[in-house]
Amino acid sequence: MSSVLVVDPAEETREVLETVLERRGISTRSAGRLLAGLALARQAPPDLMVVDLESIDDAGHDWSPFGELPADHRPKLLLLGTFRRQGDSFPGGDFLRKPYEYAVLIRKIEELIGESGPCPPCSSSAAPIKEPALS
Amino acid sequence: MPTLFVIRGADQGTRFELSEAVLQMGRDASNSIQFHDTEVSRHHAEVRRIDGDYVISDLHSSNGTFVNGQRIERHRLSTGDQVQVGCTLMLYTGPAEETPEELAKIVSIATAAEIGDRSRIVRSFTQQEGSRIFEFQSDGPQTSWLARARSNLQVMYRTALAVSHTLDIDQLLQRIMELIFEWVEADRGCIMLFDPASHVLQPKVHHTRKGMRADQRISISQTILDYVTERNEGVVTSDARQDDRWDAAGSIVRMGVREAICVPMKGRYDVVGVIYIDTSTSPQQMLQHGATNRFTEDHLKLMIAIGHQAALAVEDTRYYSAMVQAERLAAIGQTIATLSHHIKNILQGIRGGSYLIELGLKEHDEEIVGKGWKIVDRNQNRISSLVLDMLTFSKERKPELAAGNLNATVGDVLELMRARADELHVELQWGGDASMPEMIFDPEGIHHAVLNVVTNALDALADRETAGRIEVATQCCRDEGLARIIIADNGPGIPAEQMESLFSPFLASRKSHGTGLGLPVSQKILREHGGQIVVDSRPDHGCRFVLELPISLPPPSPETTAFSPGEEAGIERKTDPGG
Repeated sequence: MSSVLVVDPAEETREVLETVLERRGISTRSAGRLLAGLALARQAPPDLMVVDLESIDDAGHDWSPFGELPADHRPKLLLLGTFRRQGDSFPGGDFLRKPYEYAVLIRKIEELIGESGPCPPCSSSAAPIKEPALS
Repeated sequence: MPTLFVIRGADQGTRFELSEAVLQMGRDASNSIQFHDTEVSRHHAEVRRIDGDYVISDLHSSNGTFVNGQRIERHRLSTGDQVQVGCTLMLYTGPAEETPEELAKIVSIATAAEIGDRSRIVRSFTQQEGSRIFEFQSDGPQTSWLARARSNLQVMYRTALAVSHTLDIDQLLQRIMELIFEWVEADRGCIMLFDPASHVLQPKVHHTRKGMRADQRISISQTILDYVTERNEGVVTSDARQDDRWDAAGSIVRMGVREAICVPMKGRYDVVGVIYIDTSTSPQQMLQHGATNRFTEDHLKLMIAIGHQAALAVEDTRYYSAMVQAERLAAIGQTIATLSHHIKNILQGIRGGSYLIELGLKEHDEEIVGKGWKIVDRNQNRISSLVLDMLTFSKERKPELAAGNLNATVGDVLELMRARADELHVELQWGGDASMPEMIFDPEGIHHAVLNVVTNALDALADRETAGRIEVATQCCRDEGLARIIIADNGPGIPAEQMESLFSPFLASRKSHGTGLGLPVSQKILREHGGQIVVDSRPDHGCRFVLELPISLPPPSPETTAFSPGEEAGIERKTDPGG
């Protein structure tokens, strides 16, 4: 059973995604803040982490807990945001621009968890985020 | 903290805080200070902290870096310096020399008893008496030089006074012109300023001596204007030829002589304009009084000094206006950004709810439809609250006073919030003061004010790993004439740097779920009641909001239940204990 961890400050987004993904047989957990999400990921790494960039605490963009996950258990990442943050060191991942359509987001999640193979390695000088072309 | 404040250009209104030891500025997004100005190079300049000061260095930019109008390679910045890159003009403000705490240690106000001060006042002058230092005194020996010097000082003193308290440049220039005409026997005069955009001199004010036609045309030689502004020198001119100027048989006596003074208005950084005055000596005057110059070297020197003073005032006024405009733009930008963010989140919520409704309808699952509808409904309420907050904040209104029970109003808020508190696993404790009397207040307004504060407390406790708790209580303090509503939480508290702007609209922290209007609205409502909000917060120890409002008891008549503010006569009302 595939698993997704949703990290989003908006409880409604978490509720919608949990409801829809669970109905599709995807085990879904959620957190409102990145640090809390990373703690959940350490407990049981999901296949995919969907992270809204607003969930990152003001304390900084500390992704080191993510890097500490064993490479073969490191989840894929889907980042949601209004703007791609220039200069920030995000681990490699896909990017979906907000505001998004839920149908598009669900499809994207299914595509990503359907993909095989481990996540590209990440470090502090991470691979760039793949941003979809604007339609 | 040292800052660069953009007063002109695409980023007008942006304040860049120089919080790091080295900051690069340029058009590229990788710079700490990024400009949206196509005239700025990708990596244009660098600001580096050296020995407590900031030094700006150009990074071989295409269009150069300028400080106070001078192109620089490297320059140690001082407060008030203007830094220009591309079309972007910024004002540098350096770090405070001494913090208020440091100053308070050095300078203190003490009673005579504390310091054993035996000083007494031996002489005093009023401000008006003090300013008479420049007046001519006939009772002492006066050399002509001293008399002139005193007169000049008086003119400068009055000029300084004239330019010191106006923010309207035209009004300022008019005052300067009037002052000049009080002091010098000129016939006509005008002040021209360079248009900041076109850099062409444009007349701003003109003045003529009393009794002269005001519509006389003043023609000023372009050559003289160029000389004055380019060389930054004041000149006295005369249309008499040097070699035969006072030849009684010459044309001068037939036509008379026109003399003029033209001086630059040199400010801190640039020549901002010129002051011009002229006077004519008629043939008759020349024959009667002889051929003497009416504008002397002293006149010129003093006009140069006045020109400098006026230019400084013009620059200050312009910068002040630019700062006000920039601050206004920044505030508008902040408002739009916060509102857009909040509305975007509401729309995202509605989209989510709608998606669930659509899914539920497609799959004939009422539970999903119900879940979706709840989300849509919640977001409808959020948009209603936002609109209500905006209206409450923006409109001058008087509270709709009515007799009511404060405990009931606060209790209603808690009932409303209990479901959300349960969702967030936050314990909501309530302790209403049983001695709280029925009093006059705006129940809806106070409900709104309390709701905003409780909502903020819940937001602060959301996603916390520790058990959240909000304690709400009321207190009737009859001896102080105050009713208090206390809302305390065990959340993360408010960072010290945010305390000052806590009640400023649209300055909600990024973490906050709110619009940044909640607390300003609550404060407004309390102030409308003659009350206030007192906040006590320590990071990691939670927050305590105390909403205080004066106890206003209803009149004894049992029939009266509603009042308008104008009908309060006869109601016992204890106002702010501090007042």
